[in-house]
Amino acid sequence: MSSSTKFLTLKTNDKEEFVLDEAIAIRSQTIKNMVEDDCVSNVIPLPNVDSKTMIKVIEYWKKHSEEGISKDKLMDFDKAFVKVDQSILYALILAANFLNDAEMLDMICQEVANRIKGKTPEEIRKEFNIENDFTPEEEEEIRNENVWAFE
Amino acid sequence: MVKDKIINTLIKEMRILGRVQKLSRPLYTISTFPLDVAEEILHRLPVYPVLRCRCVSKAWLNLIYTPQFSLNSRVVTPKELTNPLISSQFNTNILGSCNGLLLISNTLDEIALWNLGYDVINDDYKVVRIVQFPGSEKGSFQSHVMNYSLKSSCWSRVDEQLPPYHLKYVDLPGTYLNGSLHWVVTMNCILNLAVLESSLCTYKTYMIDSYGDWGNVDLFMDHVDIWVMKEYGVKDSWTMVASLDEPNKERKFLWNK
Repeated sequence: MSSSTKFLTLKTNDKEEFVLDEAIAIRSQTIKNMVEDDCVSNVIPLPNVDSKTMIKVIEYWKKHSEEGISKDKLMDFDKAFVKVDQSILYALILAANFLNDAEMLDMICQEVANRIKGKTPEEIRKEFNIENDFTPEEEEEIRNENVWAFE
Repeated sequence: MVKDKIINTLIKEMRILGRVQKLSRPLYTISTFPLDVAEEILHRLPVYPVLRCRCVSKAWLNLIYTPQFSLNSRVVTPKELTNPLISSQFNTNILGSCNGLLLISNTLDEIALWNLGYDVINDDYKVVRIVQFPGSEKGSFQSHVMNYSLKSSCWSRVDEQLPPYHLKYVDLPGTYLNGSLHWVVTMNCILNLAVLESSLCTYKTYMIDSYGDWGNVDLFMDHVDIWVMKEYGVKDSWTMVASLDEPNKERKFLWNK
């Protein structure tokens, strides 16, 4: 068995290439499956991920692959990692979903949930750029179903 | 005219595309998330915020109404509620429960559905009321079954005749499982498990046929056999899993899902 490090080249949708240690890259279940099925040629295309997002993903993977890093340090890293602009957070969620990294997806989903938690529907729409497609009557009806939830 | 309209629409769409392309990164919003990701997020929220999320947009409302998305699995912070039937004369009894919703009563006339339960699937909740009384012939009896629908807020008579089974434990509510209510019934002292499909009001029975005469067995109970219907709805899958000597005489012990 060879002990030399194997590298993979990942190519994002904006044609940027990232050369990464295979042991780190297979944190992505999607990439791991490709490696295991032996369908990796030279370059692994990541059609759903852009380079800016990939830089963040790799930063996360590298930190979480560091040997001997303490739990506290990782927690601090994770906390800082998700304190990003909403559009970056969304890009990360889609990337984590596509790359099938359950741990990362879990962390970001929790962050989005935290951002939703204390907000009114109006604030949620504003924060997440969602159009209100209810008529005032429809909205009133839904609110009336569970008035206590809005108190 | 039509052609102009199409061209105008195309120009409009191209403008929108142009705008999106000018952005340094694609515009991601929660509405563009794959459904399972949006569901992942909503699943991390407590009940109240999820309920508030329903009126964010139609897409969110639909998501929260999907059968797969259930509020039941989440942890609810305990909250003290005021019993709507509180009375100094009567105790309140729980007649049944389903999806966190309680059916409570303190007299025969006063019953209420009460709790934090919420029907996310937009399904109907039903109360099934069975009254059994002696028939004209000796040993015969009749059953009247009424259904209460929460959606239509009314009681209706179930026309289909209940098979001639006696409810074994009239003071115990039917057990809700797999969308149906289940009761233990007897016919000529043979123990059966009756299933009332609460949506269709049809009945099935799964006889525990290795038991013969149960008679008043619970008065002189010296041991209890625990049977499990290993495959739901398959009569032949009833299997005895344990036999206990000198059991607790608690009747509820006999019957659970």
